[in-house]
Amino acid sequence: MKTLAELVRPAKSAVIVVDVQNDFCRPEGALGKAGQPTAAAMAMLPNLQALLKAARATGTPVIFIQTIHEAATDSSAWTWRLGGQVGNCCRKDTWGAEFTEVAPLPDEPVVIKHRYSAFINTRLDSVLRTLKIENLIMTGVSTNVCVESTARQGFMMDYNIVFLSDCTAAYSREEHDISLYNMRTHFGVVATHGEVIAAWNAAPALTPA
Amino acid sequence: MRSLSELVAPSKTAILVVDVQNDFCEPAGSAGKGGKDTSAAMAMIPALQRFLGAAREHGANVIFIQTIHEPSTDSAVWVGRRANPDAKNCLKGTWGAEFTGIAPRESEPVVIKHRYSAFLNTRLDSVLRTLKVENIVVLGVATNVCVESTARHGFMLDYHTVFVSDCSAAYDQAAHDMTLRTHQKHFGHVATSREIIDTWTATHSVAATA
Repeated sequence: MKTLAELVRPAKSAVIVVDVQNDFCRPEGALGKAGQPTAAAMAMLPNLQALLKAARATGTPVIFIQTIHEAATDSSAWTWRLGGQVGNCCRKDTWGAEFTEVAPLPDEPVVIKHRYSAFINTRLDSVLRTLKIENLIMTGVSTNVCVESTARQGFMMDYNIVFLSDCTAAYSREEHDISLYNMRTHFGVVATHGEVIAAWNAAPALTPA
Repeated sequence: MRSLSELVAPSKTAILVVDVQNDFCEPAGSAGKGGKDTSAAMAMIPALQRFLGAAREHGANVIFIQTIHEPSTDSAVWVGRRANPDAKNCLKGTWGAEFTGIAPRESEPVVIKHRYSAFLNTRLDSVLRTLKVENIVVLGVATNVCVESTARHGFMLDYHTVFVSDCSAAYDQAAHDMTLRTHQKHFGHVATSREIIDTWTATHSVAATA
């Protein structure tokens, strides 16, 4: 079984930042205004910022996943979850769809998605294969919906999964915890951002020469 | 928003029976022998048998999903999910891979899968499109692993998705319950087999008297 140092090895790993967008994170975003508690999402952002800084220092690719909703992808099944309504979350070109306290550098890919999983009908797999990535370091919101759906699919497509417990957030503690349980039991490794950074720091020989 | 009767309308609906196989259900199978509590899986089989009988009677499509493991799909990542890579299940041609207490009829497709989701690199989407199916009704084992991964995937491919609570089972009740909660909240509808059968019966009576 691979060690954490192998699972986060910079040349073979990418940090996947899922849906860290105003409508999902900020109290004045669509979910916050609808009454979902966004405190956990806001609280994990400093951890995520520290992780991204360390990832960039070690040369680990960072990939931003951005949910965008628009009429072209508002199918019957998809809008069913909102009682058949189109909703007001992450609509194209709105403030709510913008990233929250993190931002891609000019050379960091942004992958647009229209469903929960970042692999469903997107270019993510092509981007990862181009980078020759084998391991996904999963972060973002919400733990049990978009991050978990992406991690489940990524694992089944043969990527090793490192799921970060303190760089992800849900709208309840219970949902967050059972998602970590599922990840740990069936899909990959659960770790903290501190453990990943420590593994990067302890393995200079593994960083690109 | 579709009503339950629309979500299970027989001609537009397929029942996906996920991984009801000896290695996942029988105490003598690999999960049971590995210490997993398979009692919930065995306990739901009579309800599943009744449900499949009703589905066939009302003309809903029944599709069997069967996990088969063999060297050609045992990737490093897949085998690495377990601390003990020698712990195998549902090996091709073994008793453990056979269905438990149910069996496909001649006309009912079996879709072989090698990962948790029945949509991942399988022919399932082609089979469903051929049948012009819009709704999937998912059930089987384990609720939080293969059934949930299939339900999530199917919903994101634009199938309306109904999760049958009493024809699914996990090895841990809390995990079973949370899957149903997540599904109801974000992915689709949760119903009991009785609710669905009653819906079919009621719709059928209406149609018969029309």
